[in-house]
Amino acid sequence: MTKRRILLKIEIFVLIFAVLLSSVTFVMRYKQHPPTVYTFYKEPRNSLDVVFFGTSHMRCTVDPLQLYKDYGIVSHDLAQSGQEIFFTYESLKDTLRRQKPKVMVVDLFAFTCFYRVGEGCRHYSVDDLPLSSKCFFINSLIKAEVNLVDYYFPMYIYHSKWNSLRKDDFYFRQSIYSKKGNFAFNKFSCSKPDILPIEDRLDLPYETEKVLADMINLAEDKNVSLIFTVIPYDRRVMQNDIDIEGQQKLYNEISYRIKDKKNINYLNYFHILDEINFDFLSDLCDDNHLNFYGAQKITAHLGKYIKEHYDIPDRRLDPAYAKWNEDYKLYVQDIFAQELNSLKEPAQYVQFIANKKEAAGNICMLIVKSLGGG
Amino acid sequence: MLFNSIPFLFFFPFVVLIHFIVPKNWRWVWLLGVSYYFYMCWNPLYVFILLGSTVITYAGGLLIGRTKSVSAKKILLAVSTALSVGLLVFFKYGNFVVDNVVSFLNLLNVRIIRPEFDLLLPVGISFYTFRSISYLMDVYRGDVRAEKSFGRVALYVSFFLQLAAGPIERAKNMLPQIDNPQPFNYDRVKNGLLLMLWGLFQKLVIADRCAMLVNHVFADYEAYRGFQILTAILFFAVQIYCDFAGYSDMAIGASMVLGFFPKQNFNKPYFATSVQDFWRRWHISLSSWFRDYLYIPLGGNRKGAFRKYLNVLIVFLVSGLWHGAAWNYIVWGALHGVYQIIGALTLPFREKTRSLLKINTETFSFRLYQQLVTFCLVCVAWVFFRAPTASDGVHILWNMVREWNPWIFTDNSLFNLGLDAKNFRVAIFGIMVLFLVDLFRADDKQKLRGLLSQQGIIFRWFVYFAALFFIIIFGIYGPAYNASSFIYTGF
Repeated sequence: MTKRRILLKIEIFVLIFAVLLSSVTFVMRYKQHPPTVYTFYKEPRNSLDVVFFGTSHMRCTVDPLQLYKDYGIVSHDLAQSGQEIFFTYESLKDTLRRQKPKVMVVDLFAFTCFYRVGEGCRHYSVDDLPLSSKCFFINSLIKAEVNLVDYYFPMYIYHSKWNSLRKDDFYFRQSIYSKKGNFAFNKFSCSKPDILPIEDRLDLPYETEKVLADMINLAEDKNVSLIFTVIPYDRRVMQNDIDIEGQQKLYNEISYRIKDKKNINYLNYFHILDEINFDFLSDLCDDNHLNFYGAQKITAHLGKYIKEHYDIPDRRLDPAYAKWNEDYKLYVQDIFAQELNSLKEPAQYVQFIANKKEAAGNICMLIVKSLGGG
Repeated sequence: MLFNSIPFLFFFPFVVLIHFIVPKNWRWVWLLGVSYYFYMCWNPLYVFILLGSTVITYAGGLLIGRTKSVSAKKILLAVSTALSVGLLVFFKYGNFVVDNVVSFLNLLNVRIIRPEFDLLLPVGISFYTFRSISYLMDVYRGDVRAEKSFGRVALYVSFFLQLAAGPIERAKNMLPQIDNPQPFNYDRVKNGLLLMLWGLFQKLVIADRCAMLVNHVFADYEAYRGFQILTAILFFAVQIYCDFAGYSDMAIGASMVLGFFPKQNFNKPYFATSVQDFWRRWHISLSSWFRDYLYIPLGGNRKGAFRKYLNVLIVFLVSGLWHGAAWNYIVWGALHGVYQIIGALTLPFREKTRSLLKINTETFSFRLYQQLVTFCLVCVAWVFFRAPTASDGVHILWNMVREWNPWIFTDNSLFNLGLDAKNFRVAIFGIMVLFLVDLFRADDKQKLRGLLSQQGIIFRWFVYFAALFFIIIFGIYGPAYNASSFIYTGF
């Protein structure tokens, strides 16, 4: 056999192996719903005007399709559950490699609680990335002293999931549309925490200070506006024993550090609860995350704020963004279905139908479906 | 760096690539450097012990080769072997010897404070010490010429693919291959890779999966009875075979890729028809080493029946001790020795019985009976090999026979032994594949691979990819997927 033929055989073998491995890995690995990292990288280059970053706080808050419907803002939520700040920084950098957003909105929760929910949270941020971006993210993990093999070769961790595969694992990507919201409809009653005065501050830990400075420098270099946000919650003590008062002091310190910076704004919703009519009895789904109703209030305020403070074009009539209208229709149906499923009492159904006449067709269909299913 | 580790996945292709780029005359230098690096991956300090053993081997071989006087040769052989064995005894058996001396003195009411030796057992020391002794003995016997190149002796002693777990290659087979490097050959490399793949299947899919059940039961054997214990013993028999033979196959396959041809190390051992036959098939490089360098020098079967049985017993006691510095290994070895002595003593009686009952020994059923009896005897001995102590081994066997509980096969409690139902089925599937491969292959695995290579490319590649992905998906490696670390999914 000639050398050329041997090389050709090896190349074909490696190619088939890579394709098969990629397919098998996709089936085996954990899928996050909605898969916002995957959908972000499917967006056309330089098509987004606003991008949101942070942890589950932001993920449960911002509603990009509502922003599009109400203000014509095209945005994407890249926030990931339990994301550590060095990953958020990598997200910002990678976003600027692909998009030219005018505004990047970063939630500050992870800057103050430094918690880790588990290795799974890192996989949310990495697994769906294209290979070209994955390397940057994984390199940032070197400091965290984790096993990098798990990220370059996810089968290393996921292969043992073979005995719990479900139908969804094989069809997941076909079943999503690009910007579905991630909302809970249950209501968790809690009390409003004491809000500390803005002068009450605490020194930032070194790592936090560094990442904050890196983000600010990056935004200045790329001439992008930054908005740092704090979204309301009522979890009093975090995993690492920092309490909500300590966190508030750190938020205040960050606001103090950035007060003179150009193109950087700060929106602490703890300080404008009355302005947005936020209710701790009905706007959270647990003590740490907003439900759909709380999310709608903050999304509405954020949309108005961005429109008023930045020159963001209205894309609603732009033919290049026609797909957003289709997505919005799917989104509305999905939200209806989710909201309907969350209702438990017949009286709630009646109230729901009375409030949402335009959705009657969908509702009837869903009710018939559920009756048919026994 | 184990063969089934991620670093080796990158290390080995790199070594192979450079190996075939380096000029032939310098390949042994490359392999020597790689071997020492490989060894230092475990602990850089180990390298000094390896180097010490190599210096003894080289100098001993050279001196024995140059000496004309037989008695002087004997003395040199004794000194160099004693030095090699001394290193092994010091590092591997130091604590064992001290413990037993202290216990013995305590029995005599002599109280002493046990001296503490914080010794770390150097990886592979049992293997390279035996390779060194084999070289010295072969030089003494004139089977091998004393090698003048220190580097070549060093490579023979430390060859990285056989360093950690054998096979114990003979100098007369290995040294000529070091002197005569093979060019790249597609078919040889492919066959080597296939053998590595088979080894990986045995290790990752079967051995490490069986180990989950075995570890679970043996760690808490008092909680189990009857068929639960029996299942664990049978799984251990499979585990140790697949673990050891799998590792050997990977070592042999990888050696083939580099152009070396080590001897076969396992040959369908559980198809053996007697314990003696078992030892002709199990860890062949070790059992033949004991035969050539211990049993025959002790007199073998040339000095009467009593000496023969004594020699057999000595060989198997040493073999037990070689496997581990603990009494359970000695009991395991002794059992194998006793099996063979009883087998030899009862042979006339058994032959007479067969003749009286007119049993045809050439039938399949008789061979099957012999294989089953041999397998049972081997399994009983494995209990002592796996048990934490020899007395634990006795308890485990007692727990097995004291209760009759066949319902574990029907009430699903079988799946509470450390392997859930799905993993249990995969283990059984793997064992069936192993059984079929062993059943249908000839004495040389090469022939099975030859049969595969005669098939069309689509079938062959299908088999390759199926095997690869079966190992990737069903292999036991890496951190197990922990759903709870992904449970933070609602947000």
